[in-house]
Amino acid sequence: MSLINSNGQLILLHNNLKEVKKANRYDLLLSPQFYIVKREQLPVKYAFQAKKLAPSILEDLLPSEYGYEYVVQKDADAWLFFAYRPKEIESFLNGCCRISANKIGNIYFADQLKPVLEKLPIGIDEYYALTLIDGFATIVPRKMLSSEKYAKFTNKLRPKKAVKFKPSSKVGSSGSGELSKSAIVASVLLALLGVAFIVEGFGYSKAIKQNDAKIEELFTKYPQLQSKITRDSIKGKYSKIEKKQRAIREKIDLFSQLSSKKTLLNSLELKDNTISANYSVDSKELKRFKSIASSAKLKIKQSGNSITVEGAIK
Amino acid sequence: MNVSKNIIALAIGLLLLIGSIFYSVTMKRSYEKSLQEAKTEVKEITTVASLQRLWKAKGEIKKINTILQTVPSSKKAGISVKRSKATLSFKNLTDKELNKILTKLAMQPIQFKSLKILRSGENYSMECLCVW
Repeated sequence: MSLINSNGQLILLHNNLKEVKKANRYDLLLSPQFYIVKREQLPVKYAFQAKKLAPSILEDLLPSEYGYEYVVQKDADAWLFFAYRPKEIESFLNGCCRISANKIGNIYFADQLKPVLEKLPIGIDEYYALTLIDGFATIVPRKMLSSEKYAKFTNKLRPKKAVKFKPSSKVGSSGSGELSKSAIVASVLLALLGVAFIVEGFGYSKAIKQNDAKIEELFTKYPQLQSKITRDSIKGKYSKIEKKQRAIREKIDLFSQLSSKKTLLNSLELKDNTISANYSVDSKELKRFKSIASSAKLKIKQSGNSITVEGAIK
Repeated sequence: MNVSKNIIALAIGLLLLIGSIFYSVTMKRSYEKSLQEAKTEVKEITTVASLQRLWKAKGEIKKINTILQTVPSSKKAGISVKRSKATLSFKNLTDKELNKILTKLAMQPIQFKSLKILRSGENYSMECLCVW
């Protein structure tokens, strides 16, 4: 048992319908006044294939008006092709019973009641009844029928196979109809989002140009440094000089610190990769002198009070 | 082909969005790359320029001559200052004078090619070859 009944109130829709019981949702059993049907044998296996052929099969029966919706159902070895106009149904329901299109749920066709109609006609009102003529459901005056018994139309007669009602606003939306508002809104939103990304992209593009302009400005200031090869060459040359000359100055400064009244500088000589100095060191100062020299990673050669220190220049 | 106008409209919007996202992402990557390159290049150019400015200094002759003016003529054993080279020789320098000359020279952006200091008694002699 289903806890939620998805079925609406079933209405037999015919031209003489006056009023219906109020409900949230309605399912319609269309009388033949609201649809056209044709039985055709076709060498197709599936319903979707048959549905594609529906417009051409029903072409002769339909007026040239636009807005038909097609339904195809298997009937023994043949296909039943139904065509109905949602707009016609909507305007009729609105006129007779003030039922809007959004309250319509499923629809059924009177021809789906064939098993019932084969036994008894279904009474529509006191003048008309639904019966089978040439195998198709038809509304006829009761007077024309010899039967004295009529089946009453109730919810129990609901056919098994339901078709979802397609409101006229949606008919053609799967074809080449008009643009729907929601599609326009969605497209505009997507486009606006796209524009935002494009604006962001332009921002980056502008920033790239500003970077290029900065470099260009530097190149204008130092035209000889435009080439990376030249830059590397100059950098290589001067970095080497810088490193060596800084090392020389550091060592000269260090030798100057080693020199005092008790540690007299005898000589100092700068060679290609070394700088050395010779000192006469007082015996009391020996320890301090050696400590400074060794912490500065100088090579120390001692001969009595004469100490030679040597440092590498890299 | 029976394609809905709605689908076409949505597809156009979606294509525009995808295209613009792609454009934005590409531009962002280019910007990050360009920024990195610009930083590296600016740093390199400024480093090279400052190194060149420092070690290819102009007006060194004048500065060395100014230093030489502070030394008495009697203590100048041989002085030669040319376009980008100076050969300096001093004798009988006191330790203070030696320190002063050496400190002032070391403060100049010149390259010491050779340096020789020798003590005799209380005084020092100094020979120096500098280039710039």
